[in-house]
Amino acid sequence: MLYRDKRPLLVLLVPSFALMVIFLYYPFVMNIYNSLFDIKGMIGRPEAFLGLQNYVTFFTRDPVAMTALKNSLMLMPLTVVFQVGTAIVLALLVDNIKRGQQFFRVVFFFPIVISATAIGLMFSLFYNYDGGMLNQILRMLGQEKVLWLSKQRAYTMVIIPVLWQYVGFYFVIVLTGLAAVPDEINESASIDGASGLQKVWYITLPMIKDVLITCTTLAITGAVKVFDLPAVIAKFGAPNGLTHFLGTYMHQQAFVAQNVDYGSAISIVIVVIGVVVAQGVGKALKPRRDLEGGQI
Amino acid sequence: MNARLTTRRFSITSTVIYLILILWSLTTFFPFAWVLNNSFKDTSLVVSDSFSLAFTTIYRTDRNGIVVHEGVLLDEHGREMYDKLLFDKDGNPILEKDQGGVALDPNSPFSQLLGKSSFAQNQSDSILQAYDTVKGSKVYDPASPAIKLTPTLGNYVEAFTNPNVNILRGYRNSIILSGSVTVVVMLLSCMMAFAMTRYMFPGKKIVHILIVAALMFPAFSTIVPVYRMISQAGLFDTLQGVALVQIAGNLAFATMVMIGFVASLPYELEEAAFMEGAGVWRIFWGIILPLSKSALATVGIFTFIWSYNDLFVQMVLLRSKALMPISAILREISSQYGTDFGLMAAAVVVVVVPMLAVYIALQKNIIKGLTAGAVKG
Repeated sequence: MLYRDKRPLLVLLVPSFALMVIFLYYPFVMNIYNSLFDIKGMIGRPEAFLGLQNYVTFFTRDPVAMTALKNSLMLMPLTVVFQVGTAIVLALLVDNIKRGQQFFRVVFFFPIVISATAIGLMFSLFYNYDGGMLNQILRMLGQEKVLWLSKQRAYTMVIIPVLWQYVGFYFVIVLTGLAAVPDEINESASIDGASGLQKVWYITLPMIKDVLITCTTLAITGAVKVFDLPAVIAKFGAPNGLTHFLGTYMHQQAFVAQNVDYGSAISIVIVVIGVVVAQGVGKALKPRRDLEGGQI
Repeated sequence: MNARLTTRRFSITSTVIYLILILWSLTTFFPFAWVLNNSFKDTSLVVSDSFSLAFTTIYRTDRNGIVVHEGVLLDEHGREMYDKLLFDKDGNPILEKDQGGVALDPNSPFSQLLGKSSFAQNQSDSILQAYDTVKGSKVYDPASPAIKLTPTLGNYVEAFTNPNVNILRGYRNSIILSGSVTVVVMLLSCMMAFAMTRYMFPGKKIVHILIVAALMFPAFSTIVPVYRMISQAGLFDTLQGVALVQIAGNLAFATMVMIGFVASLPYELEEAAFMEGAGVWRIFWGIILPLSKSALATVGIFTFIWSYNDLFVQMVLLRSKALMPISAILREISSQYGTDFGLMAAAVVVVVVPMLAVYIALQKNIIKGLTAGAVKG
């Protein structure tokens, strides 16, 4: 038979696998190991065994870490509500129009193509105290200038572009899900006198539940990995580390403060939170879909 | 069908729908328009009036809001004259000889300095402006032409010629880096997908699980050991080092998309080719690769976008400015020239435009591939 000779597998699989082992699996395991030892400097060797001390410090003794953790955790429900929520609304609307579907698809997707660095820079131009766009609008309205990245506002202002940027991504996924919903079901529901909102709630949304679960999982795991935008808009968690996220705090600890073992521990926290939440969301949402599938 | 029913019944509804959609597209569109517009303006104008259109004529004003003229008033000795001058409310200087009985605003700092008693109490709207080296107010000669701010390419000239932030070199680095990452990822992921869909071998399940698991590692969780290995291998601060890390990081996603696609390719073609004596490699290069073109395009586009935009790995593994790709250059500009709004706007445009061009040219592939990959994966 054609594929009985297994030797080509060496060439087909080994290069990719070697790359993934060297640059993903091995460093990942090393990272766990590193987080348990005291390491001085970026290329220092692991010295004293610390055990879980870095993790204890993270959860009990480091106020900035707590801010970063809280910021990242708070971002998760916000991404679900604002990114996936807005995406669903926009997709339902676009699905209902005849003209211009293609146009809205293209335009809504714009921000994803742009680097987060560029978007971050753009938003710092908006937020700037002296001559930033928002303060210019306030001046035109005869209002006082506002310090947009003040202690009270900084978190909100930093997550606005984060939330805004990826709406188009989920929009496109939801829209494709909607295209797969057969028209007949909606039509028969209309004939039975179901209103638009009823149809959406009882027919459309349950039918694209798989897609919604995918979006929710992607949004939540994406929230844990946020880095570029906060790193550009509010450098080093300015002001006072209030806008640190797990990713930016990890970068600061490992590469700026050269606190390598602690940085490694934070990155493990990032992975664990990502996996646990993704699993949790999957478990929480999937059984209900089976039930409803049975009903229909 | 459904759409037709709804629009016929509620034309108001569809108006509202279009209104909402247009509002959201404004949020995605307006920021770029704003930046593009301001990239053609002088920084002083961006700061004072970022909403005026770049191609209209605007007079330059100084920090006190006074229109700047080319010439400065001279006194009788031919020196630039900065004091003993009154300005009316519109910022026009009133020459000394015309001042007559015009008195000073007793609340102005200058008159307070001299003592209120020396000025008449009959106030008009005029303000005495003495030249102040701290504030830098100047007295412009209204007879000389006012300085206009016309659209300027100065920001772009600055962005492309500044030796510290060489954008052309950034483009070159980005194309070398992201181009090679893209080509390698396309080839390797197709090879993996070919192996995973056509061959049976012990441990195949484990390999599959490992590929899926690789999707879960964010760059944060591998970067420290990767940094050490790259340094030890002498690849720190080289584009090859960044490329290797980015290839490994993108392979898992690309392979998942390719597996989905290659699995659906008809097996008969390969069998027929085999009967005619073609080997595995002929089949891979002659049948699998060409037939996978559309999926490869998707994988390629996404890999390119991610590699081009990925700041984290570039930030950690590169140090010399000569090697920085465009995203890292952009960050460099923002930290060095953060107050030069015109330059920053131009830099954003320069970084964004190639990506937008690629996106608009290939958007059908991008969106199709995105949904295929995301819904399956």
